[in-house]
Amino acid sequence: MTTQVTPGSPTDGPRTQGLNAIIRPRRDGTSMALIPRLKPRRRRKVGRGMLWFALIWLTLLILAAVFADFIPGLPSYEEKIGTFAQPPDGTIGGLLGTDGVGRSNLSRIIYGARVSLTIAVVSTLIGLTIGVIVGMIGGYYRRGAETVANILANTLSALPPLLLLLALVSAIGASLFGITIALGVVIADLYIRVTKGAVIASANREYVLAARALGAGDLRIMLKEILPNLVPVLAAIIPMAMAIMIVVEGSLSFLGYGIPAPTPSWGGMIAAGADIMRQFPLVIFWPVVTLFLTVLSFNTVGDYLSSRTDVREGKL
Amino acid sequence: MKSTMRAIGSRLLYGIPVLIIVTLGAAALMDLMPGSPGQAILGDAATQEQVDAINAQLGYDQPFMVRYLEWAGNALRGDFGTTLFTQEPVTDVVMRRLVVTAQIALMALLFALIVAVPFAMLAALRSGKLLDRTLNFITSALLSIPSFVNVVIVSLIFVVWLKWFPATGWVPPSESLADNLRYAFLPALALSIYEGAFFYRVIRSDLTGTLREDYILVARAKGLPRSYILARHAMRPSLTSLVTVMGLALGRLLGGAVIVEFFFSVPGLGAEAVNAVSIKDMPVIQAIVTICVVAYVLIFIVVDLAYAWIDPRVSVR
Repeated sequence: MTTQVTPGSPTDGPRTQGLNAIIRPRRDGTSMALIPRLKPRRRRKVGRGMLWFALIWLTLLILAAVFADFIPGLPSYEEKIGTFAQPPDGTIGGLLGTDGVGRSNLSRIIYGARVSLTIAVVSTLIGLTIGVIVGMIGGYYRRGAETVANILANTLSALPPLLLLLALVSAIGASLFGITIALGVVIADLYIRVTKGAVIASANREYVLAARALGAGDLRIMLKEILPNLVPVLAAIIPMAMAIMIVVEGSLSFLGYGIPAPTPSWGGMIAAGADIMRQFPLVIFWPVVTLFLTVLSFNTVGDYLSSRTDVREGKL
Repeated sequence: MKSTMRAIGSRLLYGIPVLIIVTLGAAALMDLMPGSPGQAILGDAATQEQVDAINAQLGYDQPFMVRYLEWAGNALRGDFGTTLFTQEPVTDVVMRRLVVTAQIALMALLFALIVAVPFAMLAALRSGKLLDRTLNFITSALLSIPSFVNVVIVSLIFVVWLKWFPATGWVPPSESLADNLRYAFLPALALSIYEGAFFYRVIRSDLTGTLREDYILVARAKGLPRSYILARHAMRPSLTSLVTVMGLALGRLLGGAVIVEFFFSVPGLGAEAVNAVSIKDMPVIQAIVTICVVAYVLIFIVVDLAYAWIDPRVSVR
């Protein structure tokens, strides 16, 4: 297997050293890029700068949404502070200009963040609860339970999510409550699949067998032995799922089936801005940028977490 | 061959409970919605007796399970009933719309492939270099753009600024193929942005993995040109994951193009679904839901078969 090549030998061209070949660039400058170096270069999936940016953006957003009522000089989201589609000026309320009716864009974005973040967090909790319970039972007991879990997950993913969501929302009611529950149900298939896979992977590990040998019951094993091992797996997908929730809530508002007016929501602001974007592209610009940065930040955090938790498991 | 038939059969059987649960669930959801079909047809001004009469005429006074079983029996014979308002056969309406959606979905897949595959090849060849990192950043940004922002940006650039394409509307290909393509271009483009970025990521990561294999080293050592190795040795094993994501994308595009169809006023399946939910047009909703589930099951059968065809080491069971 191993071809011995003395270091610094006068031969030109690529030198290979068995499986750990490192092919150096040839003299004429063309690189042998088709064979990437076999020694894996340790490279983070997410750059440090991106991660910091994402964390700072999300922190700012959460702080602004929580303390929106206490920001000095910030008008309420219903108050008309000037004429429509005013360009940005120096005041706090007019920092990002006004929307098509003359309300403060900044204020509406911040209060809209409240809606978006609440929906993202609560619907994630609902989906997580359904997914972990169904996935855990399906993955632990296998056989019939697993089939039921599979059929449930497949049923949820076979339907176009927006269609299912619209039907659920019109059945429960287009309120914050109804939309949150509907979103939680629609995302549950993701959590069912992930949980079930992780439970199956760990159900026959030694620590589970040891617990069983010590006389622990099924429920105790599930809660004390398996559940803690699900945390890293689920933590990696939760930020991405939250990003999806924010986008889907925006889509609902965009279609006109979202949180009823006058409560601001980013999707609704974008839909309203799209009507006047020919004359006033700036009105739609701000909510679009906010939404984009938020989704990008959640995805970045998720990428980082999944690159940190994706450890090749030792067989012990 | 026999095992292939059995594989298809078992997957079809597996789709049946999903289909039953989905249609039953859709029927139950519609039942839970406030208001009855009669109320929806007649409007708020109608008296309770008039509403009841319409409901009885359409069979909505029957118990829930009776109605569902009757629907299922008719559907098995290919009869999906008539629409609530216009009383057209649902099959005609839905098929007309499915053709439109399928055209846009296939165009979007084509656009996505044309852009994603060459770039993924380039990036895999220069893995870790500037081009790779730049494309990585661009695609993660593209994946973070929601579809309703996508349509707005696409329309702002191509309709408002460049004025290359009509803003909204649809012309069937039977009338004028050139006009049809002009109207279909922007919806397909808007749909292809997300899918293209997604395809790029999958192909790139798969190709980078394949290029690390020993047989690529052997091929290279034999002195084969890079383009030949890339096309003949590396591409084929990397196709399996591409086929999976294409199947997923097709399923998503057939039922999920709601936003794009809504924004560009395309008379497709997604737009019809939104409309049907808002007017509680039960027969149409059931038909669309059935199409989506059947498409989902069929797509995955094709994907599994394609796996075994691409990679002979995989056997379908």
